[in-house]
Amino acid sequence: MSRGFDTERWTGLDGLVLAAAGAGVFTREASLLLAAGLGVVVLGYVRVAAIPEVSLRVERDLSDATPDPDDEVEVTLRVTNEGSRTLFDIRVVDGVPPALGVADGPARLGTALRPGATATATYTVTAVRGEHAWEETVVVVRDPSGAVESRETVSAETTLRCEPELAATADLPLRGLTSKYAGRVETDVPGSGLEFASIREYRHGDPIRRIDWNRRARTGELATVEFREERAAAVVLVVDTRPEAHVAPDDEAETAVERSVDAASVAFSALLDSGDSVGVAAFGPDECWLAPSSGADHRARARRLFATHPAFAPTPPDGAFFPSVAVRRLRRRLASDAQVIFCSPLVDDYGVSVARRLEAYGHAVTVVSPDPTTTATIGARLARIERDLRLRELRRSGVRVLDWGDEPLGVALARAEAGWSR
Amino acid sequence: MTLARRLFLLVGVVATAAGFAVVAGVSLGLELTDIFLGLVAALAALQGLRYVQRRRETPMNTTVTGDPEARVAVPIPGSDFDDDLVSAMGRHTHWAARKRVVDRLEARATQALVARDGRAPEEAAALLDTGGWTDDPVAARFLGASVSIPLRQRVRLFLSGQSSLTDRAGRTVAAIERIGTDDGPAGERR
Amino acid sequence: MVAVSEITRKPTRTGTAMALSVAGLTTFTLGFTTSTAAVGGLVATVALAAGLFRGSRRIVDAAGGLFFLSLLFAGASGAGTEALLLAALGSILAWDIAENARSVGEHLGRETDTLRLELVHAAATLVVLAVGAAVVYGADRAAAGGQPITAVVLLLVGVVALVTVVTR
Repeated sequence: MSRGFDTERWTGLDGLVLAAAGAGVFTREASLLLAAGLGVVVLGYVRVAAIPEVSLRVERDLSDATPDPDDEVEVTLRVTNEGSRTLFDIRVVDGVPPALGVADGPARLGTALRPGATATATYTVTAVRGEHAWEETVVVVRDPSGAVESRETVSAETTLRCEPELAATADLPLRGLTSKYAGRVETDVPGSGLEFASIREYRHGDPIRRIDWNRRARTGELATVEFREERAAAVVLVVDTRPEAHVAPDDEAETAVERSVDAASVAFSALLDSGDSVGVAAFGPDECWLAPSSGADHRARARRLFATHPAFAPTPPDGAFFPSVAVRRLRRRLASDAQVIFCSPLVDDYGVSVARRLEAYGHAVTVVSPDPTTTATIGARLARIERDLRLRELRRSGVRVLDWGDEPLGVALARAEAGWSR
Repeated sequence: MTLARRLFLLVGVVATAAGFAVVAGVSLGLELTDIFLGLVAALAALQGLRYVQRRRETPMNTTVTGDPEARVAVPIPGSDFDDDLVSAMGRHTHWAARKRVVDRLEARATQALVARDGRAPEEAAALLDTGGWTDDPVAARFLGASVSIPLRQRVRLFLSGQSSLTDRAGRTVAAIERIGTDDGPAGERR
Repeated sequence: MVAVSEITRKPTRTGTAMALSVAGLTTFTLGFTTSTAAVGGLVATVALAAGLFRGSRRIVDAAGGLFFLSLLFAGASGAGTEALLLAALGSILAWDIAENARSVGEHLGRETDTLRLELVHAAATLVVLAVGAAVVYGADRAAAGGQPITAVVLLLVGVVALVTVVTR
């Protein structure tokens, strides 16, 4: 069987055997010749080394296939030798999904398996939001002498889906994030939702119904009443999912995109509760658009979107991304009076320009920016300075920015709210 | 099996059998001198050592296993600046990397002076030229001001091992951090 | 629970323990030959421990080479065949277990339980070495008395040729 490759593990033994035999003859010592003979036997053993046909079955069990975030899920991996020959040396490495980290026990095992035997390994992963599929399991097979090795892969489909509930936080101070009054609208039919706004001087051509007759009766002047329509604002939560936004202060922390998605899902729930129609969009290589709407179905759709859409996955995307095309597409989809809440860490200048462009197009933009900077290295401190400068620049252009550090989102919102209402 | 292998196998089996035969007492009518024997043995030993040398040159082939236990690693913000610092300090100094480092710090210092300290852009550029934007001469000098560092301080820096590019860049970043705060440079403050 | 975010790719603990035990026994066996060979064996064992501690293939190979030199010295100084054969068996086994421990550590890391894996490997090597030693010793016992030079040369040539055939 010509499976596998030569590891060159025993290279050089033939030289030792020759040297021993030569020394044995030179010194007339039979013992050295015997030692050389032993070496020849080992060389023969290495020569006939071979790996049989590898036929393995892998099964994986999860203690909970739909956990909540930060739950510990125990994974049991079972490897069975379905072939007819013993596998003397197998080293198994399980394909843990890239977004999940193992909390306890390596996801590996090493053993020898007789035909029909099963080996088991257990380890624990910490759940994070998203849909995670296990990759192929890698098995390194060797013959008993270690001279021949082969890399095999086996697959078992396993998926972990973590869909957190959209937080029902009715007391989140979100008033500052959106403005309720979308602008002046002239309509003929007063009804609920119309509010008296102002009186102005009569202009030729104003509809007769709009004349304020009380004033005419009192003073004899002609004046027109204007109404302002209170309409539920359409808000679109745009999440920055570009590769540049996938940064984190250290290995253990959440990435900036994960925090942005957290903020977006919290804002979604709260805005929906207060009667606005809310939509979701992703700004990045993976496209995602949920048009603004309201209702229980819409909430369920958004929950599924935040949890399982590949655009919001915690792993960096790898696809072509054309920023200007994406901005144009977003502009086309946004209603002319839609407000935008842009969730982005603002670690590069393009995020700033997106916010300013949307504001220039006439959408009221609020930026919610999780802070992923740290002070661990010189570059990190410089990045913190740069981000601070970007926030100042945005604020100077009239865009509201919520700088979200380590505190809970509610605290950051309250602090910002206090600042904005001044 | 190749012809050469077959030949060696034949020689091997015949020689070993003949050897055992002589050991068992069968006379084969061969006479060999000591010197010849010593020569053959020495040659065999040397050839053996050559084969052993081969091991040093042969790399071991084995599968490399990945690290699926770890979460996929994402960079920390600013790691590209750290990379530039490392390549700027390399043995073959990367002038491009060094220029990037200095340019970036210059740009940020100017922006900080405008945004945090309320200066006008021309004023900020002038401050960078004279070095008046900070009270740290090392940082001022790093961004191109012709400020002289007192000899004593220079010696102290050299002795304490803080004169490398990374250290100077670090001091400059610290100086930029201080722009606009209360412990900025003395002088006109708006 | 300690987060295992990355495994420690160093030689396994079980393998290190087994290899050093066998190396110790080999040194003990070399003690039955000359004292120089015994000292050489001790130095080789220390080198093996160092190589396994650092996970260096070169140092483990060097330890194997030191064992080999000790064997040569013992054989040239007229050691008994039994002692030398056992020492040779021990040397090869110790090196094999050590190198396997390093390889398993690279693939699976120290945290994985690999006792069964390494035990099976060591047992297979031991069986082959024991059978080989028995065969060679039996052949030696069957041939009685001192050997004429011709026999020795023929055997040498035979060994050389067989080695060339048998190498991969």
